Amino acid sequence: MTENYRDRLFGFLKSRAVGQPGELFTEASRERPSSAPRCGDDLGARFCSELNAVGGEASDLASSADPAAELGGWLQGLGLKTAVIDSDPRWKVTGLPIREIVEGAGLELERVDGSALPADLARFDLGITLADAAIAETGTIAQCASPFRPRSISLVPRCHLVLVPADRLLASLEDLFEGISSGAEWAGGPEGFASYFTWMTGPSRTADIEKTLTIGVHGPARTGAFLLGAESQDD
Amino acid sequence: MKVRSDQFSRLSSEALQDEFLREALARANASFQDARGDAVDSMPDWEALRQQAHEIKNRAIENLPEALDAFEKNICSRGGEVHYCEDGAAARDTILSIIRSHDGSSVTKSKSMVTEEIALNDHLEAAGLSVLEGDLGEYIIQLAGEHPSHIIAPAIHKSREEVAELFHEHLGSDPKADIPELTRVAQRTLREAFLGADIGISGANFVVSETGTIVLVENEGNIRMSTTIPRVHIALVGIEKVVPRLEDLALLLRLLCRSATGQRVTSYISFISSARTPAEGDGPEKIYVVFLDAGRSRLWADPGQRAALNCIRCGACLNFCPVYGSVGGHSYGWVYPGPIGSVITPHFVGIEKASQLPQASSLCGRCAEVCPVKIPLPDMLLGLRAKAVEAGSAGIVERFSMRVFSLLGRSPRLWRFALACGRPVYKLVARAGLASVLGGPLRRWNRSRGLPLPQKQGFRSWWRAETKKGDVDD
Repeated sequence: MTENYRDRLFGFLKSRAVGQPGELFTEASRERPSSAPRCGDDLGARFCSELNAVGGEASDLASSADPAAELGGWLQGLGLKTAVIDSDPRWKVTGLPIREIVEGAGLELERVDGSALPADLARFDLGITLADAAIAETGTIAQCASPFRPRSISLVPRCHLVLVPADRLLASLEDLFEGISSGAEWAGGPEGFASYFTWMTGPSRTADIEKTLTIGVHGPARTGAFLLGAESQDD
Repeated sequence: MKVRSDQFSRLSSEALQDEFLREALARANASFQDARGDAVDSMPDWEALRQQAHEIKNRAIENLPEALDAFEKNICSRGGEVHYCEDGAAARDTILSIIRSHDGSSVTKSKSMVTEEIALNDHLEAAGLSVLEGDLGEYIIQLAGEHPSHIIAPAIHKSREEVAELFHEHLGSDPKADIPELTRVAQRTLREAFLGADIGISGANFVVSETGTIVLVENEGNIRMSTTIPRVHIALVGIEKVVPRLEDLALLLRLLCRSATGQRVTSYISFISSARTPAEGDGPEKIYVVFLDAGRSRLWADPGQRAALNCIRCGACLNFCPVYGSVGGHSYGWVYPGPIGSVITPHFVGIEKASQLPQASSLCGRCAEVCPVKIPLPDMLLGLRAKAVEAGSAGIVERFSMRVFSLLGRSPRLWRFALACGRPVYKLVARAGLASVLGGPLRRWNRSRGLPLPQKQGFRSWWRAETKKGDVDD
């Protein structure tokens, strides 16, 4: 029945076409709005100010004298008990002793791979992940589906901590989409766009009752994003 | 959903008596307008961006068969399944049979106006399934057994006290709970539902031809829940939601989020191109896209109205409409309120069932000014008014007066004669306040304001006098 309707619909649309429409796939405009940052701007500062403006907690560890202590201080301030971290192989190259920092802040830490169930992840207070990409223009973290990271680790625990490798911080939305189109590794690679790609910008929010802003509905109420310095990556 | 759009006049009169509603609408519209204003001010090239967005959506809609075909090929090549449905009944049956084929019993849903259009929840519940709305506003509306009154803030017409009462009754929470507590109550209840659901149903903000990607924009996280936890994801999508390329989204997402809530981007935006791959440990096992026509192709075939399909459902035209801001969404009698609702509803449900809607506008033009894809809504409303008259909606008084007007308008001599006769009569009526004793629309007009007295000198004689003086040369 539905197959049938496809043919009828397409037949009808084609029979009613007026004139010759322009090309469907013309080159997309890559002109950035003047308000979007460009490569060469201070992207770290823009990222942090954008994310902080929407209730996220962003900080640039590149400019921190003691990144581990800063991160540890933030974690301690959360006052949480349990944390869960994905098994992204890039953790080894961040140069941060993440387990020590988390446990040093008084949290129990468990490591999971991409097959962890949402119901199990929901028991944890904090999910810890690495960003696949980040957008300075909007303070956005982007992640795709991965065998190493369950999709809901950034969603069901009530807090989310994400670390952003320096080379993954992009200037504008245009840069992100260009990256996807050119098969960037962080968006699924040359095989094609990842099955699932999600943007997170600050905490979960709603204004559905009397237009009153309330933070933390279905997703995390607190989201920390820390930019890693280029040097710490080389360690 | 039952169509009551032919009752706009009665429904809006009732709405105007509702003091809470008027306050809520005033507050909401002011807050939406301020947020959008700030967001737009931060982009100096806003007008140029609107023009680009208009061109992108136009290109997709003008090439609709090709755009749909490309989307379908791309998502199917990665294991997705696409269905096309002529109307609500076909879409409901298709969705139900998909759910049955997966032995599904519990459904969580994200906010979707298209599912409202086809009254999906009622149908699935009647078939014995458990269906829960995941968006807080939609959940409130579902518990209350009502319909959304705004396309992005569905429960805008409900007070916190009403919500507290509703949650107390259904969920046993504190009847005096404040807004944060009410949000927590809903979150706890829905969390259980998300974790146990086997089917997730969503709409789509965009579907991308080039990559076969479904794009979903939200703030709460409920869409991420419904599209990642259940085994099966079904997206019900109007055929007009297609955009050509992924890179077009940089612009469209900027405009959508700013126009809707004033945000630069919303808290979450998901891009879904396939079910989980063999290497991935979670995500749905199967994805379906159910395309709904239900009047859209009919609208597409009308060249003067086709651009209404460019709509990206930001709600800005509602937030800036003085009529919507006074009477609220339910007055429009169906799913889509405000200026865009007044344009598309007559096409979707038939002009005879919605002939009052094109009149629900003062044609002030704010809707067209704020529309991020530059839909000429006032022109379309005028076009629909003409169609409604052709379909016989005009009463005998209107038909008679328009015939007289057209007769006078075609002859300068008759026009001048009518003015000369009409002036003294009008003056008499206005001066004596006689309009209040006359019947019909004049009387209603005169209830809150007087008739203005005409100027001593008419325009034509003023013009003649001025041009003779020689100082009106531009």
